[in-house]
Amino acid sequence: MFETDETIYRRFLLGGSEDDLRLLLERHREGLTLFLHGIVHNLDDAEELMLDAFAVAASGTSRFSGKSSFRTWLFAIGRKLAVSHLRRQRFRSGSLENRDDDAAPAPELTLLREERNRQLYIALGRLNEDYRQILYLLYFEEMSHEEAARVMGKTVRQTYNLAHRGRQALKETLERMGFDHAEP
Amino acid sequence: MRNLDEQLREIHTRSEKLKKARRDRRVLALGGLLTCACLVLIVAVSLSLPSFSDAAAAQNSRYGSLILAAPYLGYVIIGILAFLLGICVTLLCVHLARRGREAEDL
Repeated sequence: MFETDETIYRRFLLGGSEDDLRLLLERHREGLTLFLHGIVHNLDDAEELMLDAFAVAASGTSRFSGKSSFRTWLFAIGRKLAVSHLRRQRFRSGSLENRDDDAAPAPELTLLREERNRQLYIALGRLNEDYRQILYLLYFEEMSHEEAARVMGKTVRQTYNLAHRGRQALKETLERMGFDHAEP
Repeated sequence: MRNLDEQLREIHTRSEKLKKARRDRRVLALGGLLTCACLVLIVAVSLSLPSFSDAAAAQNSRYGSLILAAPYLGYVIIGILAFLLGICVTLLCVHLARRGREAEDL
């Protein structure tokens, strides 16, 4: 019987079963890592931030109210951690180091095993940050606009506008990369 | 990237650190609150001392009446109160630290 993330998470908080946390990690670690990689542009940092986000969820430091799905809440935590990480990095070094622009993360990640997805992910990496995040959440994570708005801390209307502009920008990028029949 | 088991172990380690940090913050906040409450108590007692010391100074035929003379009594009472307060706060901190260590060991 398929159990929802929310049920598994609440059971984990009450009883602390390792299997529940393992199940949640299996379901969301790759997607969250890729999403965070789109923000911090470094796979190692993205993995560390993914682990931090799960640690916040596992410790109960941030309270899950149930107003959104567990995945949305987890991605929102990850995004906040990534933004703080970038701010600290900029403050320390004055620039962003160790970026791996134009490189898709490790091919062992299931989501990027298909060449099409890899190329799409590379194209997304060339977009403006907000466009990249919204398109990733909508098309790779298949979130609704409401969920994506919660993750990004924007209104639903803003996510629609960003998605529209993002698709236009993605189309132009794909055409420049040689994908002639790219459609928005 | 780490494998699933390594990631799980790392999550547990970081989660414990976060829980400990949250406990430490709570202990600090509680300690600060109690210190402020005690300071308020001492100030309140100090302000109401003149009436106590006047009454005590009237007992001038007893042993130690020099200490109980009006000019000194206030200092004596405040000194005793501060000493008792220090004992209470120290015991509280020891108790909280012991509870924190027990929670970590679990």
